[in-house]
Amino acid sequence: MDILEKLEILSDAAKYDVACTSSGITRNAQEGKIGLASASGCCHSFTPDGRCITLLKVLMTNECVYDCAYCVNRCSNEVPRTTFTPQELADLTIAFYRRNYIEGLFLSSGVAKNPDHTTELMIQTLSILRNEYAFNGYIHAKAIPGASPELLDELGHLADRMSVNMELPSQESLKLLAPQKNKQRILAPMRQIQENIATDHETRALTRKRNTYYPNATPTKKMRSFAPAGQSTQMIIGATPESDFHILNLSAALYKHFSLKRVFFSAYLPINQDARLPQNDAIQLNREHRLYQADWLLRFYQFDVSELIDQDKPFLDTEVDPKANWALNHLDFFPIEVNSAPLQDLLRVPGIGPKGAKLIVQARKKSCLKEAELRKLGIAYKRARYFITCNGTYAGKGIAFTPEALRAQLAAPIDGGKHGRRADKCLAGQLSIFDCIDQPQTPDALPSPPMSLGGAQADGLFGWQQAILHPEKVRA
Amino acid sequence: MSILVHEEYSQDVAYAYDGTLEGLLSAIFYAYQSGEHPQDIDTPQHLQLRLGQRLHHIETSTTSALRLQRGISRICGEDIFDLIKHASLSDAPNASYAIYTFVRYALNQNKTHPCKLCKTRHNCPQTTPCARAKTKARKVSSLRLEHAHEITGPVLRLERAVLNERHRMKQFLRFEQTAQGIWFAKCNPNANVIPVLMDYFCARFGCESFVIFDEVHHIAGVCDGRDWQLVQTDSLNIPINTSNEQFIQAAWKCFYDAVSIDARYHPELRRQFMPKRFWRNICEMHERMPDTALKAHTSASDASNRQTLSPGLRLDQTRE
Ligand code: SF4
Repeated sequence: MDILEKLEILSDAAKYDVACTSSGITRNAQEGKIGLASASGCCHSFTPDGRCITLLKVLMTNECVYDCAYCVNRCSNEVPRTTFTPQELADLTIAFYRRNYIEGLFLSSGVAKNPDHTTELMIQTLSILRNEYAFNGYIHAKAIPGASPELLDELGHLADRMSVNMELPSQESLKLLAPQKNKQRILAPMRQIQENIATDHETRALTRKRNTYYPNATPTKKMRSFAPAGQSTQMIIGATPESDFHILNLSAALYKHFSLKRVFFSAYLPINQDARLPQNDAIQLNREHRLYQADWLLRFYQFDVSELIDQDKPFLDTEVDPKANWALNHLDFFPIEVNSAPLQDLLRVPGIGPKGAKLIVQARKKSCLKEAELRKLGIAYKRARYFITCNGTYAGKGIAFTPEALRAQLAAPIDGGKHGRRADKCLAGQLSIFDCIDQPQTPDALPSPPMSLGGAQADGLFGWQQAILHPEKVRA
Repeated sequence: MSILVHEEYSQDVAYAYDGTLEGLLSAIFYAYQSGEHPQDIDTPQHLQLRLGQRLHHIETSTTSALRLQRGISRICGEDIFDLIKHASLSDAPNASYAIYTFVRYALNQNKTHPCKLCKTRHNCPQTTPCARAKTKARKVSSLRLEHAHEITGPVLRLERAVLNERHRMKQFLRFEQTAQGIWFAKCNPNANVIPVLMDYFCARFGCESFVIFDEVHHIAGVCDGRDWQLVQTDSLNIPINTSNEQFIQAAWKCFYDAVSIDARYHPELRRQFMPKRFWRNICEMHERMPDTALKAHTSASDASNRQTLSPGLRLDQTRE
């Protein structure tokens, strides 16, 4: 099989992985090495579905021995199988990198033979890149659950970012859909990566040149640092009945206790015919969108999960975004004065983002901000005006200051474009009048859960959280 | 430098300069020197004289440009000069005039001497601004925070537009390997961004030689693996690609097609991130362009390839 065919098969198989970012680390160019990395990342192309291509996202192999229900590569599927040799993959990466097609490599893999063998293949590839080609760009490697800690350690020293797929938001779902994986096998490498990163930071701080503890402790051999861009994870949304409440709490716990950089969500796409999976044609893309919005609020707007969602209404509102929803429920907090309100209050106003809030704080030192100035700063004034006063005057006149009236003003349907599934259209050939439930959002419209799951609260609401907090209590 | 305002000149003069940063700085310097307040500053091609307006051609003078540069850096700080440098790369109409008013405003605002805040200035032996004053000047100037100001605002927006365009180029340049081993890329940015782009690609490439050619501004950045320089050129003679090039491009297209998920098809979103005006220089997008646009473009570039004029840039000669 020639490389072109392999590339086609293995990139096609990898496309459902969502975490395609090259961010999180700045590395300047070094003499005699190829490439650099910048913390803000750089997208080099965009697919017809509007997702960015930053990294060469491929699998090492799709010859997988596991049988996860939701995955194209499961061993019970009839698909062409192939494996890259480390050399082929390294050559391809360098050729693409030089042509400015990509920022680096995103290497994932099916489980060939066993986790250790697969990880060894990945390590070989990365060491050809790093050592032979002196490649200095970005590498994201997926840790295979179940691989031995030593191999994981070696892999981490070659990669910039590591990730372990959480796959599904609860242990019960995992047991049902991915029988060979379990909570411990997924959390163990996550915990190891977190600890390694922490130790690495510490030793580096201690051996830095000028310190009082180890006067001459410059390391003799320079080691690459362990996953300097941190770790991330991803999970599938909508294949199992977990609520948004559950998912957001879980991701907040991951940010807090595992110091993850990102948690990615991917709406479940029906790829396989399987009785354990929801078999209607609906993809919960809008739900994914709202979850990401909530995720941003957690990471950049200093919101807490409990402010965004509670157990009584366990799904995010589809009509208005989570931030507008919070504002509507806390109208007594508004309106606030743009010319004097502190930064964290400005961040709460719908229509003002982190960038806009910072610009406001800077610009108001020099001039008094009114409508024209705010528009110039790039604030979404149409939304923001109901919640602010400019120099004492309230700008949202004409609309009653009640949740219902404002809700109508803020309602923003998710723009799904004119084509494809996002526009609420079904794909040709899959059109089915009776079981096409359009993007279920409320609990009752959810695909009825497979019987064996026993209701909406699989594994207790905080099954994963328990395991994250108390590793010793949970049996392997 | 005293500013004398001659009322009779103030309304009716326009400056034409050669479009370079040096030219612009010379023009501004001349305005200070002669005490004039020009109504328009632009390149001769874009300048449209108003009724009764006098045209003055500015000779580009490196000495006066340098002097103004030093003045701006000393009084307002390096970062304000960077701001001017970036903004001057813009193609936007009236950019030069906006910069001119900004320079006047900025120099007026920051008339204070850099040593003014220094406690030991009364018994300071130094005659030139010292290191302490320099670090003070290098701090982010307060001018940069005036986003809503009527003079500073437009210049800050010009800079942001230019830097955005630079980022687009970092994303969408596509290099090809020519038979001599030189990497070549073509682009069509809407601002003259090659000068601020070369450092990035020099670092990214390590030690290889490459050329970036800007079709719109007819400027090429040539890097020999160590240093880079700009070349103004009207014609271009690209040697044939290596045999491997076709294969890698095919592999890239194959990858591009494979990673797309049909169920999420959303071309509007893609166009928003990757505007159509760049597509003709992005190799994986060629098949998706309307044939006519591409053909018109390629035949035009073929024609220019054939009749290589003598002052043109010949890629095969860049490496000795
Ligand atoms: S382990 Fe499961 S998810 Fe991963 S490739 Fe194999 S079948 Fe797919």
